Amino acid sequence: MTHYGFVIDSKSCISCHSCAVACKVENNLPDSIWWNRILTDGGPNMDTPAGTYPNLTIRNIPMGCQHCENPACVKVCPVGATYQDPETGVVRQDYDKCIGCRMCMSACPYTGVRSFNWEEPQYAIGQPMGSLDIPQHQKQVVEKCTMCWHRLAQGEKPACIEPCPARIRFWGDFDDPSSEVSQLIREREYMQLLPEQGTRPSVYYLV
Amino acid sequence: MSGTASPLGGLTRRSFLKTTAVAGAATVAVGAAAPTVALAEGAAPVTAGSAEEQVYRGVCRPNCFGFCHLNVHVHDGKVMKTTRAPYNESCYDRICQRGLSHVQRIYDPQRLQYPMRRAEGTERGAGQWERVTWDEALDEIAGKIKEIQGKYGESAVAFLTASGNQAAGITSAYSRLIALLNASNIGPCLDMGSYYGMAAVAGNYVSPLMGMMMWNGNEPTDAVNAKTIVVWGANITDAQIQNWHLIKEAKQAGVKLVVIDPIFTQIASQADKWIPIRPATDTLLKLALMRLVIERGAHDVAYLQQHTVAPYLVRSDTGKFLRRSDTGVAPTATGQVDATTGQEIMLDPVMVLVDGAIVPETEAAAPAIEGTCDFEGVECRTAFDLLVDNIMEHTVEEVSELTEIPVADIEELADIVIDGPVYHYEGYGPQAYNNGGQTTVAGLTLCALLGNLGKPGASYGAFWGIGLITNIAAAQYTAPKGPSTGFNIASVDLKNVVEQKKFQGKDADIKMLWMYSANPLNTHTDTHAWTDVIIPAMDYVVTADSALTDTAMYSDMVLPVAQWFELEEVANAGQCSSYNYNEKAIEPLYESKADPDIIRELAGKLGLGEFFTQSTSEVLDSLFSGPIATAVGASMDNLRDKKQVRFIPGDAEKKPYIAYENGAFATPTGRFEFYRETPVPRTPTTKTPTAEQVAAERLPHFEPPLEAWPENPLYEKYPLVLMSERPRYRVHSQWFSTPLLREIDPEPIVKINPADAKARGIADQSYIEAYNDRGTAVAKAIYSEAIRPGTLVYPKGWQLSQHKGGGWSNLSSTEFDVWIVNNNFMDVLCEIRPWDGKDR
Amino acid sequence: MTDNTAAVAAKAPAAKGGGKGLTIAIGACAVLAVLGIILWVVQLSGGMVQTAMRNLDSWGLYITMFMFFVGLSAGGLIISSVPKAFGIKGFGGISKIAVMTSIACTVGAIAFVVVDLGQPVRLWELFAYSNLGSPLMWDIIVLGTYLILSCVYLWAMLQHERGKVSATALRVISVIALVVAVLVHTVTAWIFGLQQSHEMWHTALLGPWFVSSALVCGTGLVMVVALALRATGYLKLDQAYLVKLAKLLGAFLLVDLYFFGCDLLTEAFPAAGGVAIVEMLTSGPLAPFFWGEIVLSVLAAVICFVPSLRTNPLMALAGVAAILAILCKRVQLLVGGFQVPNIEWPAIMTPSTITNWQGNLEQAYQGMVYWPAPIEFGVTLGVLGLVALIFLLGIKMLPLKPAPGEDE
Repeated sequence: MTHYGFVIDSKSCISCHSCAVACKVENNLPDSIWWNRILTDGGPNMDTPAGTYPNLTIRNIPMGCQHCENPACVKVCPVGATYQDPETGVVRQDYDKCIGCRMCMSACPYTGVRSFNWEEPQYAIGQPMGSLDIPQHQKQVVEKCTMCWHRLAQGEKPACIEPCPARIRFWGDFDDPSSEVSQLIREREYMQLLPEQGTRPSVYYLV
Repeated sequence: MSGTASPLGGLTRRSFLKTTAVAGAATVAVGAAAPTVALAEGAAPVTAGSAEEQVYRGVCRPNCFGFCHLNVHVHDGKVMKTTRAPYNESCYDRICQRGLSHVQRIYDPQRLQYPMRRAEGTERGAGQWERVTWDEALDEIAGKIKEIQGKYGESAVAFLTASGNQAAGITSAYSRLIALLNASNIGPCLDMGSYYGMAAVAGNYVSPLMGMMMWNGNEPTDAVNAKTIVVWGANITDAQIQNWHLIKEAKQAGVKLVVIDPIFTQIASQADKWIPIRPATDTLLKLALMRLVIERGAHDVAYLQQHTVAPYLVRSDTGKFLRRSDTGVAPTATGQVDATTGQEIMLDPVMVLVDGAIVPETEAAAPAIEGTCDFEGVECRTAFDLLVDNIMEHTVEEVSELTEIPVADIEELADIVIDGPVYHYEGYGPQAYNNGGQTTVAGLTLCALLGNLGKPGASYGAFWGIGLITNIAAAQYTAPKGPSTGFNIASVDLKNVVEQKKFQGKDADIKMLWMYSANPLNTHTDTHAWTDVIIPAMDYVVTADSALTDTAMYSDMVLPVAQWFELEEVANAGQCSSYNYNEKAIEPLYESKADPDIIRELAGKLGLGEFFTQSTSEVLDSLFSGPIATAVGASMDNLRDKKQVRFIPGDAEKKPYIAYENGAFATPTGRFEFYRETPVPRTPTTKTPTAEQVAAERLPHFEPPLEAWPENPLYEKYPLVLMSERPRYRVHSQWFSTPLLREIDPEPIVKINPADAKARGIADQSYIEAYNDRGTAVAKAIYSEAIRPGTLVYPKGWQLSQHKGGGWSNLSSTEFDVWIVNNNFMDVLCEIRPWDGKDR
Repeated sequence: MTDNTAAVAAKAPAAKGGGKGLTIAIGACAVLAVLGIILWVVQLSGGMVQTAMRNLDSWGLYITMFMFFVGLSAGGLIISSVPKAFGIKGFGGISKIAVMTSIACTVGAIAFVVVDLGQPVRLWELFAYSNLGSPLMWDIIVLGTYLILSCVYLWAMLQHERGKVSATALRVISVIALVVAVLVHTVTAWIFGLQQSHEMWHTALLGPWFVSSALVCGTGLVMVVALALRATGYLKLDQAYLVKLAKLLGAFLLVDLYFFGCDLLTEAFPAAGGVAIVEMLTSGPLAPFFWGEIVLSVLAAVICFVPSLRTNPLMALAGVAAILAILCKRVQLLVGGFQVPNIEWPAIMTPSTITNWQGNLEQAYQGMVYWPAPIEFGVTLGVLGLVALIFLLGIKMLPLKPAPGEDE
């Protein structure tokens, strides 16, 4: 069995947004849509610290779909448009089935990882970018990180892993004890987002 | 799910079947590529390198220093995306949020598509254009060049550049034309405080592989060999992000990180110790450290003796070194010839003290570094003694007060710098003030005192090199009839030249500007100097660019240039000190042309066609050819093959390059010259140093900056120091209109400490106007505790049209220091107020 | 907020000739409904970006009204089926009217779900691909069943009066109807109550509480409709029955307030995770709706329990107040659920992110995170018109008046 997931060394994330941009380009995300966002654990504005000068702290948390092992969204989708791939654990989205009820968006505790195309997808440069293999974006359905399923199909990693200049993003199979991600969570302290929700996310943040 | 993109988007019967099949049972395909999941059955994935998609090697080259290698993915003649391509050393593999956004730059709806002439009867800057053909445009330009040169002299036509399009082909093409026209050159003054300081005391190093380290230091991969990394005013995590992982890995290996910066940047948040410092006082801190080093006797006497001018005796009457010729012994011939001057090198050793006796240094194995003596009635002292005098001028307590750093922290920092090896990573913040040359001088001198140079882990500097093969091996190419007889004017001095109509004693009447690879009205200081003085004085202004920048807006003719992946090029610079090969991936869009092609066509109209018969690729072939190029691996064949060839010694991963190894310095004396006999301004300007300035400049010393100093009476009116940051979502002003980056970073902002904001009745996320006597800028105020009270930080590079009023460069000045001749971006005081809605 | 009773009362002039007034009222409601449909088409073609809903507050007025109308629809059915089911005296023969309100409100509830969908054309998928584990799917099934059952029930009542359906059969149907009515509310509650993603929603109490709220607003609706129809001369009704309804309303209000109090105390007592919710309700952006519900509920209860206050106008007021109180509750629940974010760390803000996207994230949550856009009010008004239309058509075309001597 395989269980794909991410390890992100948030201790060393500098919020450059390369991963967010890589995702946006690879998946030809429409204007205003971001599947991967970098959250600032600090002050009220993005990229500002908590505390008072000069006693300050800041931490950056890239957040996309957590591809939970116990996903709240999969349970509630009335038509099964959101479903979990049994082989890999990836939580997937079938745009063609989605009726746009947004129940999954209410059920997911990680608000913001799911995006809804509130209008006909607009593309600033008027032509597609990114991969030729991604499913077409549709008006008024829910979308989210697909773990670059189209790249997994070619034996490649998700698009957000390699471009990280800080080299803090890792992806792999948690069911394989010798994989890099398994080793990282064995060797280093980590945290997960909203663990008390019991969704068992497949994203681990090294701290 | 629908596999390959269905244009209909709805649920067709075929995709319905695919969907249920996939949802029902995912199969795992078996095969060599071992894809781990299956796409919808029946859908053939499009793989890179297939007939569907071609991949070309691109080099991103706005000169953020990174010079990332990219895979440019092309489908149907269109760029689909850019991804990271490997360096030959995997530690340098790199890409960033801007390099990933190229597809939106190439197809940006705002990209210039055709040549445009300022509409007749309209003002420069009004933004009214009429479309013209290339022939019309170049005919007009050629006509203007001839007319202006005929009327005012050849030097009246000037070309201005910076570093926005850093590559060998384009640089060489322009150089050749400038030389043939005997036109003037307006040179950039960017980060030159740092360069000046380094060149002054440590020299300008050129490697055996023909690489010049304009900002020299140990290679960043060497930082892991240090005990501590000390970062001086470098916003690595925003401005040089490709080096961050090297620092991170050093930290993970146990190296300590100290960051000295007024602002709590992301790198400061990663530091083991962050020292918040008052802006523009880094030199003082370094002097205090030097004082503590001396007081503790921690200086490396042997190093000072052997590799610096410490033992050299200085005449108190002339300020020059006491030489053997002063004793009546004539200089002797060495038999070697100086490559630059063609003259034979004569030996006239400096005199030193050995056991109280004055002897030539060539006869002294271990000269004293301290001592005073009398030579024919003239008091002579060792350079080291003179240095110590300067160092002792400031007490640690005084420095503590002026830098606003507690004495205990200064003492602790002294402990750290003494416990070497220490890798000092210098940024460009501290040198962007009018007193900014000394900070590098002082930093290098501190390390020279400690012998903290030339060894693994021991370094001081920023780091950037440029490959000189095209200058040296192909010198004939760039100046076929000899160098230009026109002027070399620093951009910060151009306003003065225009006003005085004189330069270095000669009449100088600059009447035409052609600007390329630069956006001075935006990215240089003092926009009004350009809009109110320089541009109005020009008869004709041309800008070659791919977007309508502030500079283009004020031009008479705007030429659309091809972007980076639309021509073959070699980017010959960067912090990885390599030649970087860029393949042509697509044809130039719309009517844009590659700069070398523009030059070639223009040359034809100027009657210089015989000098420009080669295509861009052929030019590259001839630039990167010959025995020297081949010997250093920089032949075009090798570049096309290897994609990236290093021009400094060593191996990034196994044996990083060490600067100043074995105490070798490319100075006149061959030693570290913390004392300079003859300080020389970086470049000639309309100013001349006074005798007092010369005397002071010989040694490391502190002067307050021009404006950003509390003792400045201007402080009463304008109490905030206005600092800029190299923005994360642009490089200078490139990428200013890239749509997806504007979603993250929509508009001009200024970061302000909440206490300062509240005192002025400014709410978070509200619009403010920053102002001083020179100009205004409107931006959104962002509360950030990271900002030192009494300062403001704005990400630079917004075009004037993107502000609701004014623009950042309105507030800075072109006042420059006579030595460093540098843009003083940070040396600005201002005040801010809530914006009243008016665009001034 | 508007409610259909006001629309009915306004449209039907208190004149004796009910026929003409009724026709005008039906016409007006039809116009509203058509306008609503037009606006819905505008919403679909121009995109739901025209609403105020966004990614971090992805449900709004439509789902609020959905909850509200499910609640309204239960009341009528429960009022009429309980007496029949238990074979006890009822409310003077207004059962048929009560069930008619039920049918109309159920259609309204379903309509609100449909106008909220991003891809309504794919509605058929709900039956082709049903995920039977989804609370939303359960609700669709139960609502559909409820609608059909309400119609069957009404038909059965009419047939019973004509002697074609036995009293026993009617009683069986009424029991089933009662059970389904309770189920509809509970299942609707579960759409929210089973989601641990929102602290405010995730409580076991939500099921029973929705039932009690439904009883409150449903009873209030029946009361107001009965008073209005009696005022127009459509039917005769002994005051005693109205008083009985009022007392029942009062009792339901007390139960609802009891649940209200339990929930508030449970959130507030540990002074831990629930504190943000409590503050938001009592002194934060949702305070007007919180205190509004309390004031309106108490007002209605007082009127219902104090004999001297049980005059016709005041009882109508009590009914309206009860309905509005429950509407306030729905707003608290829906908007409140999105008002306190799980993760409050700022990130990219685009027009898709949240309704008030132009400042920072903290500023987006000051004041209500969501307030409907004009088009949402317009479509809502259209659905209200549809609901009133169905009810009035029922009045016009079906013999819904109490049968002579009918007591149930």
